[in-house]
Amino acid sequence: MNTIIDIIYYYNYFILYYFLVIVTVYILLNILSFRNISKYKRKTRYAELKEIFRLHKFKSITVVVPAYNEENGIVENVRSLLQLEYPDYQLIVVNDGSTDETFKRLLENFKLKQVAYSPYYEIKSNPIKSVWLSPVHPNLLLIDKENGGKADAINAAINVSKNPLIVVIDADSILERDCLLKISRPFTEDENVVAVGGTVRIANGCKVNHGYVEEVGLSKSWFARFQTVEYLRAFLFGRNGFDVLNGILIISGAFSCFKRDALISIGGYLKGSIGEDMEIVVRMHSELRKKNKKTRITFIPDPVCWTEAPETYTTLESQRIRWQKGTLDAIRLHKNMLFNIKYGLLGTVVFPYYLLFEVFGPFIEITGYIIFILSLLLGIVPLNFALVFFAAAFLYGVVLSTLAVCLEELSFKKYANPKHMIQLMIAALLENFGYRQLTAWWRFKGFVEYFIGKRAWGKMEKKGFARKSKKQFATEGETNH
Amino acid sequence: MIEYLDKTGVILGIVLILFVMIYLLVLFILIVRFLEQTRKMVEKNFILRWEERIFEYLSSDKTPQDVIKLFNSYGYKYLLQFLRSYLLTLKGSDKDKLMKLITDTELFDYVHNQLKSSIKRKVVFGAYYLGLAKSVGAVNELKNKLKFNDELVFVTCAMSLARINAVDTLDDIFLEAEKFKGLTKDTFLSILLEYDDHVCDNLTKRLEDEKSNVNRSIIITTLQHFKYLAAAPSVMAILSTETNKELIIDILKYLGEIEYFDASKEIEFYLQIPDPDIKAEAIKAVQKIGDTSLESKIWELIKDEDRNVKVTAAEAMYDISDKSRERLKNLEHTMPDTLESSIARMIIEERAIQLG
Repeated sequence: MNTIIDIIYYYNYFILYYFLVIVTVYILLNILSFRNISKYKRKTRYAELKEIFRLHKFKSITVVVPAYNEENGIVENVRSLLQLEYPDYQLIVVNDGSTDETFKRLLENFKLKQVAYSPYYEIKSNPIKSVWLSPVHPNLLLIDKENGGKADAINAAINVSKNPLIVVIDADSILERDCLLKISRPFTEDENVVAVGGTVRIANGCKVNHGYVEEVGLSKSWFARFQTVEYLRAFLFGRNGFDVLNGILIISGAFSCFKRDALISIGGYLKGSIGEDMEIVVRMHSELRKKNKKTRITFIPDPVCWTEAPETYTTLESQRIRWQKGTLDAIRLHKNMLFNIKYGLLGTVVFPYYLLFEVFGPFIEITGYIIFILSLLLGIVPLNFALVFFAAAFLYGVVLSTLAVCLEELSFKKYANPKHMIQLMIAALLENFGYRQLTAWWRFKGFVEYFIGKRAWGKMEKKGFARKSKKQFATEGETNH
Repeated sequence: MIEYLDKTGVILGIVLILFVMIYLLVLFILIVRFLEQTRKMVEKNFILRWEERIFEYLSSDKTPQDVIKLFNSYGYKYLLQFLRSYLLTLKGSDKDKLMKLITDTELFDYVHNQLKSSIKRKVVFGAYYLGLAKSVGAVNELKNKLKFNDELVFVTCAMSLARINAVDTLDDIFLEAEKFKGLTKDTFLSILLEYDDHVCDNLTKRLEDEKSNVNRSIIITTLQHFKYLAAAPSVMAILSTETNKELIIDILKYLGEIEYFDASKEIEFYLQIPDPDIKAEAIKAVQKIGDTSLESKIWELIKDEDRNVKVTAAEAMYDISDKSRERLKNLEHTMPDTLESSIARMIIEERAIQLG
């Protein structure tokens, strides 16, 4: 009995110090982000994005849209993607063996004609069945291929594309019209940049018209509001902070841009990985830094892409479990980078951070709650201490979320309606009472499921913006997106 | 237990601090929002009043001074922001009249003083607007500020000098650019492309003495952009001795873009070297120049080991002449079921669709 009490006693101390370390790390990240965003704002204040128009011969872009069973929205999405502002871009839609009408609708609506394709696979992908071009939209190309999952579909498009930059988006991503101008800028500013991530925001509650966000709003669903705050936190100070350390380990699959050469040299996306968007970034760091130490993966804080957040319990749970498994998978696959001084701050600071706070974080948080309750019951920790400690932990969470809202208000001011700003602040307060613990629980489940070998994708349902009907994105056990 | 009780007081202190922090943060957000709303309102009111006056100015004989007198210096900042989008989009006499609002009035002193400041933010502001208004009177100060030792200031000032088309400052720009190791080829290029085509003469002279391959490459790409034919002999002279791959590729691009027929012999040499990237660029140059005498060489390259060279050669065969196109179409019969015939079919079908 005494041994158990000793373990609980020391575990409490561990939790306390863990909490102090995480507080320090977040404070540092906040400071770095504030600096980084103000630098970015200064730099871009008088920049005319269309300057890049003159450079188009150097940085033509291919936008890749992997599509699996997207019949409801694909035509409208492609139409809006054909209206992006960029002098020279090609849009490649990959029909990844859809079983619905996706392929047929694309053929009919864009009057596509088949062209002979001489198969050439610089990187591995499932066979391309056919390639289609549009006489009406010369920059639109459709690839029809056997189903192989999102990673495989992107690889097929990389094989067909000839442009030096590849932008990968989700079929339901809502892009800002000038997103390509913004995302291509870091490539012209630094020759060592091999990948750029864009800031993704939650589109729930926004007014979407013809594939573009017309008016920014907030959803009535508290789940969506909490996620809005989460995204602000993750993108505004999480990724911004890591960007300063050249330590970005994940670029959102909803909108990311890569140098084609870099993708080819590492063999493209890893087919079958759970979190392909994180895996590819980690692998880029791992392999490309060996060749060029100055290799940089960066991020633009400008909101360029909007995505629909799950609003139901089960969908959100499934998403978070998948994300956790993806993180674990990427870290496990590239564990050689951990504490490896060859990778500089990435190996010695960022990777350990991910392991300690992202991979083991939910495990420590959940066991922490259990141990704390046990401590109370066994009289190891006095009630007043417990209450004060919990209050500190919750309030600290509120401070972090409010800081993210504050950063948004100081920088991009997307939520123009004062009512929405107040709602965001309320969400920043409330998310710490229940929602945060719930996400920790889901991530904990992901952690456990990963280790017991349950690594398949979960269900992912989205309402869609232009369409009322619910669509099913992926079902368990299938190799889908 | 006692240890925990000891720490309760400390954590309680932290809780209080956190409470105060949240309170201050919320207050800060509300103040920022209030100030922003107020700023927007002021700006909106200014614009409402100015818009009418400025459009009236554009369609009347009023002098720029007459218009600026109507505004107090407090609103200059907003006025400049208002003018920015028009200066970027308008062309012709309307744009000239708007530029005079900045160059020929008290507004110039205001912006010029910002440029003369030692504060980076102000310098960038001043440099940007003076460049936008093509203010010749600001050239000396802009030239001085190239030495400010900050990349953002350098780029903004150099860009403005280019917009003003101050070709005499080209040497200063090249000289100061060397200080900034992080300045990329693309950024430098975007500065040079702000000049009009009068810069080509100076660039060509500079090219003859230039030792840095990066600078040579930037200059040649700029000349290519302006399709400046007179630089061809200087560029050809570099090609005859050059071994740097990237520079050779840039030169081949330039020669193709200006359709320099006299370069065919030199380009022919590059059709035969082992490097596939150079070979592909040489094919593209021949394709643009349209030299039919090199058709048989290009034809041979369809059988090259490198797939990109094969594709580029097939594309060139499609474009060089009707005869070469026919030859490409017959490939299916002469080399059936080969990668070459498959590539040829792909290009023929792609082009047919593109041509409608």
